[in-house]
Amino acid sequence: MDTANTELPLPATHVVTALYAEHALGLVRLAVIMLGDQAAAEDVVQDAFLGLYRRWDSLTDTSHPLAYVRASVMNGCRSALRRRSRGAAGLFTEPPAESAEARALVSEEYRAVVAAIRRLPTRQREALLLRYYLDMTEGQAADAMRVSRGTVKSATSRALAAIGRILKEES
Amino acid sequence: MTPAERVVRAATRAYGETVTEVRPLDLTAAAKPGERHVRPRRRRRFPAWMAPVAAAAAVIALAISLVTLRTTPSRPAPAAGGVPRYYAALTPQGPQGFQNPLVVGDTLTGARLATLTPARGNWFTAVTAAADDRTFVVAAQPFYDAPDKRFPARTWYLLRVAPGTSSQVRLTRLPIPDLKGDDVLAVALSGSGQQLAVGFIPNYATSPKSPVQLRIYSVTTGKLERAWSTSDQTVFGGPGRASTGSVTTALKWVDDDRALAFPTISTASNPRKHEDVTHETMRLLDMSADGSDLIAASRVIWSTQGVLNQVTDYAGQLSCANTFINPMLTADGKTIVCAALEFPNPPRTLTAPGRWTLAWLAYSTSDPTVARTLAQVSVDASRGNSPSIDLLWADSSGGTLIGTWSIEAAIAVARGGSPNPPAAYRPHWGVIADGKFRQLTTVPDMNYIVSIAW
Repeated sequence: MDTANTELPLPATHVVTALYAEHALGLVRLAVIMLGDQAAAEDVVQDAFLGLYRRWDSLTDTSHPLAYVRASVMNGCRSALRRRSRGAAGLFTEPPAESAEARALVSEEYRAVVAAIRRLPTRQREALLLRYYLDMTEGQAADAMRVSRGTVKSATSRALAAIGRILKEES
Repeated sequence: MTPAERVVRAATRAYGETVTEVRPLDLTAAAKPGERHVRPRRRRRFPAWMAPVAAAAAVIALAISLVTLRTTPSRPAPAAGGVPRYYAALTPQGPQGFQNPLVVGDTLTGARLATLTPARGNWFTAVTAAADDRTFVVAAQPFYDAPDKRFPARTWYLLRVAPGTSSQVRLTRLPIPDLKGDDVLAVALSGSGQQLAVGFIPNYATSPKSPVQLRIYSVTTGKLERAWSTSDQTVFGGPGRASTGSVTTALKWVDDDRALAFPTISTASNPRKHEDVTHETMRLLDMSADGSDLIAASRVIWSTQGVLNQVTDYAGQLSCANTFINPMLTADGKTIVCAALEFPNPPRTLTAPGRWTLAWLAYSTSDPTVARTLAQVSVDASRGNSPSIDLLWADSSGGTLIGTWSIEAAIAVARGGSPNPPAAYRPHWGVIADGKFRQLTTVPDMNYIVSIAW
C-alpha cells in the first residue's frame, strides 16, 4: 500500500511531540509552583499531553492545543491538590518539602512569597499565577480558568491581599 | 503593576526557574485513536474501567521479618496442562488502584491461595519466578518518599508457595540492597532461585541518561556477585518503554542459569515517509565471560525489523518488531519466541474495521532467520480500537506459551464511553501449544492484571 503519495493531515504524534518540546518546561514550572513537587508536576503535565494525544481525533477545534493543555494542567493541579487535602492513597498526605534546588537558588524573601502563594485557596492561586507568572490578561486567565473576568479580578485582588497578610504575620 | 504584583511575578519566576529539565513525553503510555497502543504504560495511573474490582478474597496482612534463607527450590514441579501450576500476579486495587496487591493463584483450578497487600503507602512493582513453580521474588516500594525522588527505596521479598501446609504462602524480606533512586527495567530470578538479576538505571530521577546497569545478587545473602553496565539505552526494551509488565519479561536466565538473555528494542522515525522502523535483537550474556561492559560481554543471537506507518498503522509484514513486546529466549537456549502483528490493508477511516493478524512466532537459534508460527489469531478491528498482543511466559523449549490478545477500547475511553469495557474489549488469555490458542479462564481478574509470573 502506497501511503506517501496522498496528502495526509499532520499526525497527532508530531503536533503533540512538538508542543511538548516547546511548552513542557514552562508548564511543569507552573505546576511546580502550584504543587511544590516536581514529580507530581511532571505527572500532571504528562497526563495533560497524553490526554490531548488520546483525544486528538475527537477534538472539534485543534487550532489551539496549548490552551487545551494549559487548561488540563490547571485541572490536574486542582485534582492533585484535592487528593492531597484528602490524603488519598498516601500519595500526598504531607505537603511536599521544598526542593534542594529551590533552597539553593531562590532568595529567602522569594521563597516566603511562594510559600504564601501555596497557602492560598486553589482558585486564587491559579488566578495569581496565570496573571503574573504567565503574564496573561484578565480575559486570557478567565478563559484558562473557565470563569468570568470578574472572578479573575476578584480572586487576584483577594490573593494579593492575603499574601500581604501572610507575609506580615510571619515577619 | 503594583509593587506587590512585581514581587509575586519575580518570586514565582525565580522559583519556576529552579526546574531546568523535564522527562521526555512517553506517548506509548497513551492508547490513541489511530495509533497502536504499543506497550502498556508504566502503571501509575489507570483508566477508570481498569479500576479495582470487588475482591472477595481474603486479604492476608504481611508479616515481614528478616530471616536467613537456607532452603533452595527443588526441581521443577509437575505442570498443569503444560503450564506451571502456580502464578503470582500484581493487580491494581485499593484506593485509586495504586497498591498492586499480589495475588497468588492456582492456574489449574482457578483457586486463589492468597492476596497480599503491600504495607500502607507502598505498592508492589515487580514479580519474577524461579523454575520450580513455588518460588518468586517480589519488589515493593513507596509511592514517594520525598520530593524529587521518583524511584524511592525498593524492598525485595521472597515469596514461597507451599500448598497443603498451614501457611500456604510466605513472604520474607530479602537482604538485597534497596537500589534507592533507581529505575528498574528488568528483573529475573534464576531457575534455581538462588540468584536475582536486576537491570536498572541508577539515579534515574536526576540522571536519566546514566549507563544502564545489570547486577546479579545472591538471594540468600544479598551479596553483589557480578555487575555490568552499558550506555546503550535500548537494552531491556529501553527506559521509555519499560512497564510493570515488561519488567518481568525483559531478562531471562537460560542454559541452567549459566547465561542471561535480554532484548534490545530501538525505533528510528522517518518523518518524510511517516514511518517508524523498529529494530529488535536478542543478546546472550555468558556468566563466565570476562569484562563489565554489557554489550561487549554479550552477543547478538537473533534480530528482526518492523516498519509501521505512523498515520495509517500499515504494517506490511508479520513481525515481532511491530508489537514492541519483549521477545524471549527459552530456558534451553535454543528458541526465541515473540509476539507479532501484521496489518497489510488499513481502511481509510479510523472507525472502519480492517483485518489484523496477531501471531506468536518461534525462531531456532541455529537458524534465526526463519520464523515458525506457533499460533495465529485474525481480528477485525478498526484503527481506533486497534488490537494488541502480549507474550507472558514460555516453557523451557518453546513448545508451550502463555499469551494474551485484546482489542483496545481507545476511542470508547477517550470519548467518555462506558467506564466498563464491553466484552469485546476484554483481554483473551490463552495457552499457545500445538498450533492453537486455547482460552485460559482460570486466572481471576485477568482484565486487571498488570504483571504476572509463573
